[in-house]
Amino acid sequence: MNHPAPLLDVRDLSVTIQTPMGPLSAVRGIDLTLQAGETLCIVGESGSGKSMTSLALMGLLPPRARARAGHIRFGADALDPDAPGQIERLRGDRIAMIFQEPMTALNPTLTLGEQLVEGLLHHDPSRTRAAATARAVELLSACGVADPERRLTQYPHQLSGGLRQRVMIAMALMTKPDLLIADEPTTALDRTISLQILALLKDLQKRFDLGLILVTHDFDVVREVADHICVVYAGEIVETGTRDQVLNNPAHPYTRALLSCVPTSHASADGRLGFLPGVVPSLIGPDEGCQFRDRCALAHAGCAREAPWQEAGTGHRIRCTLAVDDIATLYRAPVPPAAKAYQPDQNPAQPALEVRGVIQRYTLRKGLFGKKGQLTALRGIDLSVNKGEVLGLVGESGSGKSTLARAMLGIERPAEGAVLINGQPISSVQRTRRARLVQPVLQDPYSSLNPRRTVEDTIRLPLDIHGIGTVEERRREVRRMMDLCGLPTRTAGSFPSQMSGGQRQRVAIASALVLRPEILICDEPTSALDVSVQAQILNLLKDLRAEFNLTLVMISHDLGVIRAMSDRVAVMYFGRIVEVGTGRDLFEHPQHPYTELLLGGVAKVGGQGAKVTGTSPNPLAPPQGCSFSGRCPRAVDRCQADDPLLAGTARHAVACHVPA
Amino acid sequence: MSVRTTNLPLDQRGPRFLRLPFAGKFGFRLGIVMLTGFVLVAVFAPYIAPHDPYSQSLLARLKPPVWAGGTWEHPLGTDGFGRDYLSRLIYGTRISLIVGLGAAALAMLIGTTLGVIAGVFGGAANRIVSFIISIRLALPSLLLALAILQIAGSGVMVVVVVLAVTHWDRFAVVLRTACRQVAGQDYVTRARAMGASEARIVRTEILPNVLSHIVIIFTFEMAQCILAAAALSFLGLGIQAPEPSWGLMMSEGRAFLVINPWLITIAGFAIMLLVLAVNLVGDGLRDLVVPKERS
Repeated sequence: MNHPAPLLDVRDLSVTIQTPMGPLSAVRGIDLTLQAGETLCIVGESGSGKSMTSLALMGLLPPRARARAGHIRFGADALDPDAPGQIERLRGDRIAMIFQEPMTALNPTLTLGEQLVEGLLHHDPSRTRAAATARAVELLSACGVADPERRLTQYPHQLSGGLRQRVMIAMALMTKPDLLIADEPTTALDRTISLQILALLKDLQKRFDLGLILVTHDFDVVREVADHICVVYAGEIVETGTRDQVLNNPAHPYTRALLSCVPTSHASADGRLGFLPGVVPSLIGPDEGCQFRDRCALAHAGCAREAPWQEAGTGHRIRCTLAVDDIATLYRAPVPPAAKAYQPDQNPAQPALEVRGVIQRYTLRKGLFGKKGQLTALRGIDLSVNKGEVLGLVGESGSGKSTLARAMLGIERPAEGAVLINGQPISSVQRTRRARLVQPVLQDPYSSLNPRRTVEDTIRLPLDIHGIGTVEERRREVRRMMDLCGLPTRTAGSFPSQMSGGQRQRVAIASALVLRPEILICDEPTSALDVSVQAQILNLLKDLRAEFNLTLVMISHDLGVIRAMSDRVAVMYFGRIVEVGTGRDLFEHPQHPYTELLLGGVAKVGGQGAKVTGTSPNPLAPPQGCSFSGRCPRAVDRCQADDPLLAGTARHAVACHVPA
Repeated sequence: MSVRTTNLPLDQRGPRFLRLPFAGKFGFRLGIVMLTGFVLVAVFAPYIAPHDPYSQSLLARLKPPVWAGGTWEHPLGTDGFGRDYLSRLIYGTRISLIVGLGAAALAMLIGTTLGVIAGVFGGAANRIVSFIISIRLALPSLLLALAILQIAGSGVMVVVVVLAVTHWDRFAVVLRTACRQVAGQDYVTRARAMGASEARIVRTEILPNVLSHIVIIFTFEMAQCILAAAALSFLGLGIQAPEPSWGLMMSEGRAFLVINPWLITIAGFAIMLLVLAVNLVGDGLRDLVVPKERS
């Protein structure tokens, strides 16, 4: 390599964890090189060993995990092979780390000032407290925390998630580190907040000439910040190169397949996502050769023996038995079984699902004699979904998406307004009849199945509740649904704890469809899943939509998912729908500034993301006028006084005084 | 060449390692064996007991146990009325078990009902139940028990009711939290959307998933109730003479503490063994159930 001495140079890093089943090789000989001021993204699915790599670099591995390395060079220091504990000395001083969960990474019993200052004094006792406090104030304001002096006296629970992550970053920078390791730093945050944090990281990197290692599963994040990318699979790097090389010209079959699974803003509702069958293999026991061979369309006998490195371009290397050109000619994006075309009813006489002026309030009260507070979760929702249509509902956490889902399911009665199914108010429909009209698919595949029931029992439950069919008929119907949802028959007797997240979600879908509902409400059905599994589930939903003539409401915070699935999209903000339109209109010509902000990060490849500031208002004390006016770059005086209503055509409507 | 970069000096096996062989496996087995023994003794009391536990013989008063100079006619000696101590001890097992099981079962019924209502329905139901629990916790149990026994008289059933009324709170507090957690799970929402009735949801979705909590608290409260029943008997309330209640036997033995200390010691030892057995079983069940729930 013709670079100057790198900031970090790691050769042959391995992590082994002792398990009852034998040693598990979580990381298998990874090489990393990082220059000062550069960003390296380690990207991979869950179980790929990406977090273990970052923890090993920080010397923070869990007990029973052991790291070994050929060498680790950090700046001018070559870490002595015979002296353990060297990384521990650098940790927090020259290497700092930011964690995923800003809610738990700060100590709730200490003020922010104490946490920021103590850390620095611990590493450098020669500093005075006043100097340390001054540095804390300086860094907090560099991290975009307003009024830093006051923040120093506050406790973590007084801060929002995004603000906590800013404080975490400031804390990491207190000792002037050269290297910052961030493990999924924005995964727990909302889209607009996540964009702010990424912009901040890039800004700080430039200012302090930081090396940044960012561990993530999110290709949007990678696209936003990476200089170099390492794609890891089953504890090994399979492809490495610059951002443009890896994202625009992926060479390895795994990277190609994975990228084809990522729903992007280029996808459209009629297309299908890529297909990457199978799961990451077990990492217990030694295994030579390419780890990806079981899932690879191009695998041959030689793949079991070795996986040699080869150049795919300058600095762009992959690990594969096939030559780069051969992969390019042989590789076909794996296409899932034939896509079923489906055309929704364009001009129906009556919408399948209609939401009319729905308002939902919750009374909050502490204890029997406590003070009451009122939280308005939905502030007047009007929405209609035509038969056979897929309506995408997008919004940040706290925007009321899930509340609206419960109202549409008829399991929660709105305070005002009504939800109509086929023109009939859902509140007047009998419980069991309602269940045959509308069913949910919920977010968390780990909590949507009763742990005490087998797969077969779970899918059969609705038939039992409704008393449909004989025992034999029910059994046949369950098998049929399992088949349709891609569940092997042998899993019928399995308990949820024995299944993967994707399989659990298939069970949940099968059990929702066994009653043959007309409408399926999917509340973040894939947000807990890996991108390859997400593609499988989204494709499955598309197939089932055609098979069962379904009307779908697709709720997600992920614009890629929404774009890939929806005919029409509604954007929610703070309990209102601020913009609704056909997928194409809304994604290509967003009119509401909030929609623009959401899209800003997705549409732009690199460059400066849209400038987003602030957070949602407090739902216990809603602001006057337009609820977005506090964050809006286009706000005029009228916005503070006058709350805009949804106006426009059936194709595209927006609630804004100053639409684009 | 290779570097050992990391290995935290934390030993996670510490507490578990210490706990497992005793409480986990051996203790659980021992508890089951002991408890089974007590149950068998209680069921077959008429066949095992060498004498009628009520028949008095003033000629054979205060005979010492066999190891303290007594005869095999009365292996554990006789009490102040000349009643065979071993027979009374055997019949006393029945009373202790009935009171313990009955009171714990009734407490479970009260506490679980309240806890499930509060946890599943939340809101106003939760606030009212919380208030009831607060009231219950504010009342001194022993004084309440004494007051009720004074008014309602005595007898096994009254004691069972009194103990249940003063021991249901733990069921309610734990189950309220457990049910609230389960009720928030998506599978409960899904069952609701499937058109299942609330009763069905409680029966098939919620109760099976909080059963482990109920079982564990049950054993704990059973031990507590056995002790409390003995204490009430010792104080002269609750079960009345001539019933062979262990607590009452200790109370009666108090008068002869100097002449024959075994009268008070053996009954006390029996109470200790039974409570220990129940607690060992409870601890074993907890170790058995809790890790499985977490995985």
